Amino acid sequence: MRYDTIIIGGGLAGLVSGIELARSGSRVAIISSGKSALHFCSGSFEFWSEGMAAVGSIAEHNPDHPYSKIDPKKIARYTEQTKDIFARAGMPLVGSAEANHLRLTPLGALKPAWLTMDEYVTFEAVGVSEYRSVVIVAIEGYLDFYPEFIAKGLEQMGLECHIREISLAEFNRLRQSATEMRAVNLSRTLKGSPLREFAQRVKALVEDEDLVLLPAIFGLGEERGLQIVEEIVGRKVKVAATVSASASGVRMQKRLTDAFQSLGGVFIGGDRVVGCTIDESRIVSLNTANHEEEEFVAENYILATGSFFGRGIVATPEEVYEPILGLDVVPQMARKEWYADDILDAQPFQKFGVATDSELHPMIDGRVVENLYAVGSILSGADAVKEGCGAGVVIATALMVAENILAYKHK
Amino acid sequence: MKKQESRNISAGNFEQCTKCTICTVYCPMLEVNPFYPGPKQAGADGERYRLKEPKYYDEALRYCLNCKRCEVSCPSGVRIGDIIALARAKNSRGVPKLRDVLFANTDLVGSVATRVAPMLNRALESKPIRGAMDTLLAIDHRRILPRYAEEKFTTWFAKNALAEQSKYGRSVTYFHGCYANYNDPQLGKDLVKVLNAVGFGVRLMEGERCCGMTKIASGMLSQATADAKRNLAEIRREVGEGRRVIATSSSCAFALRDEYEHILGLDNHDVRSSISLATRFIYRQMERGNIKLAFRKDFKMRVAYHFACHIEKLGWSIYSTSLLRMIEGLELLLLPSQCCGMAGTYGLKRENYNYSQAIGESLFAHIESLGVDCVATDCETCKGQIEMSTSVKVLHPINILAEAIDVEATRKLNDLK
Ligand SMILES: Cc1cc2nc3c(=O)[nH]c(=O)nc-3n(C[C@H](O)[C@H](O)[C@H](O)COP(=O)(O)OP(=O)(O)OC[C@H]3O[C@@H](n4cnc5c(N)ncnc54)[C@H](O)[C@@H]3O)c2cc1C
Ligand code: SF4
Ligand code: SF4
Repeated sequence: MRYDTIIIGGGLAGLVSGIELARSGSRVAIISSGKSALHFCSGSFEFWSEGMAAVGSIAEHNPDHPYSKIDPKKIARYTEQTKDIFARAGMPLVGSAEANHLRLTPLGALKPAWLTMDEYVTFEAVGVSEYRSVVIVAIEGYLDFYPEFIAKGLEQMGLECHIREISLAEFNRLRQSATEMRAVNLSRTLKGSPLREFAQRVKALVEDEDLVLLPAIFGLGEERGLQIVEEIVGRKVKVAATVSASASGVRMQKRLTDAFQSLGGVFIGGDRVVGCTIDESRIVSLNTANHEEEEFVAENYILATGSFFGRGIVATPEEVYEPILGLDVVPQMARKEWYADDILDAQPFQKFGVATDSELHPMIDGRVVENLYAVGSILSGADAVKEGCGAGVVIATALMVAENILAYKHK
Repeated sequence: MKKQESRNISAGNFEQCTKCTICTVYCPMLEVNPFYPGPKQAGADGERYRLKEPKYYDEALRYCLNCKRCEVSCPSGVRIGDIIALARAKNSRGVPKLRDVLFANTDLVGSVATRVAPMLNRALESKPIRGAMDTLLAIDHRRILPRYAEEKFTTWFAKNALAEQSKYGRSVTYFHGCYANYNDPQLGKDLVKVLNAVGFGVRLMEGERCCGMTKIASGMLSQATADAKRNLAEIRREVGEGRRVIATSSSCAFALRDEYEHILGLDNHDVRSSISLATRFIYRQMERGNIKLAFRKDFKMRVAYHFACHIEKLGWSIYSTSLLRMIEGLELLLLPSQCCGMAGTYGLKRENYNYSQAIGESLFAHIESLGVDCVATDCETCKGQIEMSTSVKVLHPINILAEAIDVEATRKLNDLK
């Protein structure tokens, strides 16, 4: 099978670069084993938790950070491009390249974010709220949403909070299997008449509050679920993040995959790239577990297989390695240095990943693989947790590589 | 350069589970049935308990469709469906019902049924008989059962095709399976038509048995193993003589390649990569320039492709869709990849009927909304389910290919007289 570009890994990194390339008319295939970290998306993407103003000087203080390879002048454009991709896929985002906004974590903390799905409640800054009072709606038997914690967070913002609970016959059916009362299952139930019934019950709870806050359980059973609820309730309705697999994340995976396919991209799911042929410093072809001797051939290849979670890099008791091509992984250090003792401290293993040159070409024994690029959380040098840069690194590197591939093509 | 991945590999990779819950998002049964514990709990989580003490086996595991969509979604390579299927076969205390034995023995029942096909088909359509089957056999009276053919594919082949197959320079072996043989011989005939047109002779294996998928799904592993051993011996002979073995049914191909090893514990590594799917075989021959196809100028069709569960697990839908895309005059739409609810013989059983239809509901609505001439799929039981539940006809990609090609022009292109 022949393509212009083959992308290994169909998480956020693979899909964003795939969509950009397919949109420009390239023949692109994504090969992906299993589903990705997107399923746990909080509804928000982070770029740099210290603030967007600091983005220009990140490289200075962190020469090994993936951001040091990205031109800071391009970030405003990448931000608009990201919003455009998500809007076209039916999931509009709010946020800007100038300043972070605040998002609400499932535990009620207010954290800086770059872009957030517009269904989620966000604030411009601490103490700046367009709402006066809020009713936080809990669902009987649903344990992945913590109204009390969320109320504490919102009280800091000066909001008057009321917690009220509703139940729904359709949800009680799910409760028969205690572990399955999950955002994804609730969200699938909320369509047609149960959705309307749900909205009516919410409406009955609202007094004079100007905001209704629900757990993020919309969009799977009925794409327009939250809008329908808002129309019936007749008040501003927003959602807050839940824990465990998120309905928004599942929807993102699905909508981005659909968007990629509708641009003519080929998505080969449930398959694993297991080997490749390299000639000098170029990849000639890839092989996958399902397709056996069939060769996947392209001009360019993008490695977007993720970090430890996606198995883009793998740890054994002795070492950390990249399993497909045996790419150079940095930093190499003794196992006892991988972790900091206090789990709240920065963990060195978070920065593990493949080494790349300034154009994001990875290397084998110090030698660059010319037609291969690495994008996303497989890159070394970023600590997504401590620096709050997870999706920022993923999206910016994915867009940069797509842009470079297209630029070479036009030359 | 490539290093050995991970040690501690156990049956089904169950210790690789990171408890991420992604599999639970893609399980069609969990979506409609609150009594089903779901792939995470029934699979890796439950296995820990069952290894400790078999009494932790939960009879609700019987709801599993064996669709393997959980496995396709798992980022950690846990063979969840296999773990469940094996736990079921090992622990289930229920004695198989007469009905389950009948459903599992598609080959035996098929060979009897084709002999009395006209009468049987009429009977299966009659209300009182369906009512009686519901009462006596727990086969849902609302279910439309597959019709049986009056002449088996193998009989037709022996009479009409066998003699000329040796005229072709190249040959390939066809594993027709029960469905093409007893229910839909046209599928086999169409495959012969296409392969002959591009210069391949078709061989059948005299000792072919049922692939065993229905027996595996009903936990009848010893019968499945007997069939499987016979099939492997037959396949080994064909492969030894340099032929590939191709199936039209994605579930047959999947059983021969993967279930034999993972569920029945048979070693098939020597022939596994020679077992393929008809669409994959044809596509790969085309890609290498070994064969060419010419299409009828007047052919027009708007088709929606349905991704059957086991072709998703094989990862081979790309061959069927690529082949359909090559057909001039064919407009291809892709349906969202989801289970239709049938899962082999699962949906035939009365106790599963409502779950089965609930799983497929959104797919059926989607199909109706598209205004297509037909749905294409590589799975025979999806065909039955979609035809029963929508107003749209379902064809195998090979049926469509056979209709679309210009046989004379194709033969010429391939230098045949
Ligand atoms: C649980 C979790 C939650 C997170 N939440 C957030 C958040 O809310 N906001 C934020 O900004 N950041 C978040 N992050 C940071 C996260 O790293 C990024 O947001 C992003 O989703 C990572 O995308 P990726 O495409 O690089 O990797 P992944 O999402 O891991 O995708 C990699 C894909 O490659 C596939 N793959 C791996 N090996 C192969 C192979 N050999 N062949 C084929 N395919 C292969 C995997 O199966 C997987 O589908 C989170 C991270 C995790 C782990
Ligand atoms: S998807 Fe795989 S790793 Fe995740 S819970 Fe299911 S079996 Fe475990
Ligand atoms: S095989 Fe299918 S029905 Fe069974 S647990 Fe997996 S996804 Fe669910």
